[in-house]
Amino acid sequence: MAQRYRVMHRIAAFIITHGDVASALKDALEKITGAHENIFTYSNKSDALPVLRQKILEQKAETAAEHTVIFVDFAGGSCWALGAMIQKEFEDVRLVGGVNLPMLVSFFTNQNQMEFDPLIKKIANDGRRGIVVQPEVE
Amino acid sequence: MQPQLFRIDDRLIHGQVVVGWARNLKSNRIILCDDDVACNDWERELYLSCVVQTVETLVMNTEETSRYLADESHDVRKTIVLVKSPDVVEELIGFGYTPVSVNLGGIHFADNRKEFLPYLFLNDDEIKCLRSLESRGVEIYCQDVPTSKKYNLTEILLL
Repeated sequence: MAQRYRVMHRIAAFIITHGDVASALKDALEKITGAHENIFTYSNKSDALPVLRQKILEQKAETAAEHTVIFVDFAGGSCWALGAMIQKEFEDVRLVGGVNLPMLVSFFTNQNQMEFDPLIKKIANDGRRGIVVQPEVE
Repeated sequence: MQPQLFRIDDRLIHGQVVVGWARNLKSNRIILCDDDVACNDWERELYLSCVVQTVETLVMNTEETSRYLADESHDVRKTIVLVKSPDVVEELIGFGYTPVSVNLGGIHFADNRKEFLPYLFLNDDEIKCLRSLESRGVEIYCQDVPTSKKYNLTEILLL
């Protein structure tokens, strides 16, 4: 039987969103960057927030990464409230609202090249820079 | 005087309420009625940060909310009241305020709860509590956002 090696990751990424946005984002991201084992997706569709919180904390414990980043789609919604509660509880967690594909591509491109907090700052900026209007409008 | 919306929602203040209901109903006030949030400054700030500044938000415990709503000098015609579960409605009644109509807007999946609608999962105690409220004349209807179909509770429990 082939032995399974567990790949340890420095950072675990959790995406929590409305509807199926999280899993669709992961799917799209992996089309661009290839598969990732340190990304976990959750929807607030059916589960009560304490149930969702429990699932995330169990996965966080199992993954045993040094740092955790939680991405949510909408700052100020229920996913954000849940992320904020987890972030408050754990020193190694950062919460980022307004997740988009440019932000995630930046995360997976730079995750092993930078210190954790500068990385978070960079990917938030790259997410903002990914919003472009053409032609320029008044 | 009745508030424009009295809602049971286990997520309290979130997008569906702020964007879906408050904008649609042009509300000027949201009352978050929850004993835990009312005594936790951090959670109170978290929920307050979710609301636009044009809507005044009051966070009160059950007793304060009951007193507030029972006081006819408060104009609540543009007010949304939020509680997280049916037993809070029961407590409000105990403190002297009975709502005429209750919107069952979201109770999500947890152990022992059965699915009735995509946003509505209830356990036996919750069903009993809701039926008891109905038997005392409180109208209970299920609707998550203003544009979705409205069901009455009995219709849903028979599904």
